[in-house]
Amino acid sequence: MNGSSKLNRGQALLGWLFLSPVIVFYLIFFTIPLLFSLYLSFTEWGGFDLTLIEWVGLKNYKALFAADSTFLHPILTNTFVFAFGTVLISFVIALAVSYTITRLRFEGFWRTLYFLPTVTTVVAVGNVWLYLYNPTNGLINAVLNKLGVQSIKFLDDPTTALASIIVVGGWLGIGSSVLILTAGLKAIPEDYYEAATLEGAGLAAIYSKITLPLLKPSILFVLITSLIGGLQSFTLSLVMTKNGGPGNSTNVGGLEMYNQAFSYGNWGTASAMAFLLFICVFIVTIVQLTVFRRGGVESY
Amino acid sequence: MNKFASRAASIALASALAVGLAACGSGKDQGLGGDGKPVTLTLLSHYAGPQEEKLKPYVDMWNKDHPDIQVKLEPVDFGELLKTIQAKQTAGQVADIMHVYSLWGGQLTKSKVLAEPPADVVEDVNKNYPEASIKGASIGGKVYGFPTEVNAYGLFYNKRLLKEAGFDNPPKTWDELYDMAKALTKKDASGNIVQQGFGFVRGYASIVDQPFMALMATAGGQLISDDLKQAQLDSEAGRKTMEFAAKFYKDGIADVSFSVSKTFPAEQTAMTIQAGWYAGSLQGTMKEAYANIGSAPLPSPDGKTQGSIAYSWMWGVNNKSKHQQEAWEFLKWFNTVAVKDGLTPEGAFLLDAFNSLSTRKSDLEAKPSKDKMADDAVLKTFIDALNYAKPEPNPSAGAEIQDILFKQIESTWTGQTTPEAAVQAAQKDIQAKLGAE
Repeated sequence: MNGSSKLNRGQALLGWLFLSPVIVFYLIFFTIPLLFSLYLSFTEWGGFDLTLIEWVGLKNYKALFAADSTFLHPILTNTFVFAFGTVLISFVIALAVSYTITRLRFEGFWRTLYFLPTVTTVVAVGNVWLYLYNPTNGLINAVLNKLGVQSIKFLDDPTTALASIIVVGGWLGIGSSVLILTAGLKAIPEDYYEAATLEGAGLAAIYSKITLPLLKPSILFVLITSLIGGLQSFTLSLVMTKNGGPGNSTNVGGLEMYNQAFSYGNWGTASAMAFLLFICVFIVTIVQLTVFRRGGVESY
Repeated sequence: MNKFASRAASIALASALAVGLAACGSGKDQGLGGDGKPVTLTLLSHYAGPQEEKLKPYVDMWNKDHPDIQVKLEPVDFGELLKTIQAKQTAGQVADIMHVYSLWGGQLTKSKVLAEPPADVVEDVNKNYPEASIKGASIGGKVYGFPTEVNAYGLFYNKRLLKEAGFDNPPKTWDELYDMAKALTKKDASGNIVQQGFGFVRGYASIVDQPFMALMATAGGQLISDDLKQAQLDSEAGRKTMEFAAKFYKDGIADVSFSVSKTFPAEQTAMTIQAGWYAGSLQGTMKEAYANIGSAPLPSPDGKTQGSIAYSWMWGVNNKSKHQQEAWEFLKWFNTVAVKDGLTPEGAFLLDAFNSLSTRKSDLEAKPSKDKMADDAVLKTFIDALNYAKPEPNPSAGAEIQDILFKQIESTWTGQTTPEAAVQAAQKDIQAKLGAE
C-alpha cells in the first residue's frame, strides 16, 4: 500500500467520522421510524403495547381501496385539491409579486412584508382567519353585509369550507415562494435584459423569452416543495375546523392519519395511509421533474 | 494528520453520543420508588386551568399527610387527553393515575392500559354507587376504577325568552319542541338568525352525538345493543331522531353557524340539549342572568316516555405503572374518605368545580349535597335523569364510532346528505367497526 492510498483511506475514514452524527441522527429519527411504520402498515396495533402488534398482511391497504372507503374520496381528493389549490394561489401571486418587487425601491422591505406570514405560526394564522371568516361577527361578512350581500358561512358550508381553507393556505405560502423566486430573478444576469432591450424586445417578450426560462429551476423548486408541503399539510384543517368538517368536507390525508393513530388507535391503518400518501407525493414529484426536464431544466 | 484524525474522531464520537443521548433523554423520572424513598405518582386528567385550581387543594391535602406518596398533577385539555395517553404510553412515559372517559374504556382495556383494581376497590364501587355509575366505570362487566363525573342529558331553556314568546312551560313532546323553536326564532332583514329557538351544540364528536343519542333514547332506541355487537341506528327510533334533528336546520329554525355555546349563555338561543355539568358553566358565565335558566327532562315523541343517556368518567390506574399499589391507595382516599362536611375529596371537588354531585351514596347523603339538591332545581333535573338514563356504550372502537356518527349527523345539518342516507351510511360503518372487534 503506497502513501497516497493510505492518505485516501485516512481521508475517507475522516469523512465517515464527520458524517457519523448525521447518520446516527437519520437512523434514529428517520430510517428506523420509517421502517417501523412500513411494518406497522401490515399490522393491527392499538398504539400502546408493542407486544400486542398483530400481523394482518394487506388488510389495511385493501380497506383503504374498498368501494365504501372514505380515504380515496373525499379525503385523498381533498388532499390533492388543497395542495394544488394552495400552490396555484401562492405560486401565481408570488411570481407576480417577486417580479414586481425586484423592480421597486426598498425591495428588502417588501420582501420582508410578504415573508412575515410565513414566519408566523400556522395555528395563529388559522385562528386569525377563523375570526375573519366568522359568519356572525367576522370582518369579511361585516363588509359583505355592508355591501348588501348576505353572510357566507365560509367554514360551516361544505361547498365553501375547503375553498376557504385553501385561500388561507395559499396566502400563507406566498412569502416563502416570493423569497425563492426573487433570489432566482436576481441571479439572472442583467446583460440579457440589456441585450434584449437594445434589440427592441418589449416587456412581454423579455418576460416570456428571458425571465421565465431562466427562472425555471427556481420555479421547479418552489412547485415541488410547495406541493409536497401541501399534500402533507393538515394543521389548517385541524385549527380551523377541528375535525375536517362539516362531515368530511375539509378532511385531508394528514388529519385522517393523525386521527386514525392518536384518536382511534388504528396505527396500522394510519401507517398504510401514510405510505399511500408517500407514493402519491413521489409520483407527483416525478411528474414535475419529468415535465421540467423536457422543458430544459437539468439541475434537479 | 493522525493527531488531526484522532481529534476529529473524538469530536464525531462526542457528537454521535450527544445525538443519541438527546434521543434517549426524553425519558422522565417517575419518582424514586426505591426502599424507603418517596414515590411520586403522576395524575393525568383533563382538569386544566380553573378546574386544576379546584383539584389541587385536595391533592395538596393528601401530599401533606403522605410524604412517602406524593401526587403530581398533569393536566391537558379534553381534546388532547386520549392522544396524550396514547403518546405517553407508547413512549413509555406512563401516567400512574388517569382520568378516563368511559367511552375510551374499551379501547384502553383492549390495549391493556388500565390495571384491574384490587378486590376492595371493586367491592367498594359495587356497594356504594348506583347502577349507571357502576356501568360507566365497567368494561365488559368488570369494574376498572372509581366512577367520577356521571352526567345525564336534559333540556336547558331560557325562561325569559320562552315567556316573551308566550310559553309558560318547556316542551314535553318533539312536536312542541319544534313548534316552540319555530315561534322563538327571529331573523333580521338579511335573513340572518338573531335569536335561535332551539339548537344543538357543535364542535366535537361527543358533544354532538350524546344529545342525539339522548333524543334517540326518548324515542325508545339506543345506538348500540347492550352486548355491544349490533348497531341499532337503522331502527325506527334512529331514523326518526336523525330526521327530527335535521329538520331544525333544513327549515331554517336553527343555523349551524349560530354557535349555541356562545349564544345560549348570551340569551340568544332559547333551548338546547346539554348535560348536567353545563349548569355550573352557565352560572359562571351568565352571573345574574342565570336566574333565567330552567331545565326539564328531554321531550319525547309522545310526551310520556322518559329517556336520556349518561356518560361517565372514572379514575383508573395504569397497568404499566410501577406504583399501582400506591396509586390505588391515593384513589381510595380520594374517593371514599370524607374530608369536608361529609364529602369525599372527589365529591367536594365536583361540587366546587362543576356545581355537580358525585354519585357515591355517602356524598349524596352529605349535607352540602342535600342542600344543593333542595336549592337547585336545575341540578335536580339531571340527578333525577340518572335514574332512567342509559349508559353511553363503550366498545373498543368507541372513539371511531363516535366520529362516524358525528360526521353523518353534521352532514345532515349542513345538507350534504339526507337523514335516511346518513342513517344507512353510519349504520353500515358502525356495524363494521363492531364486527371487527
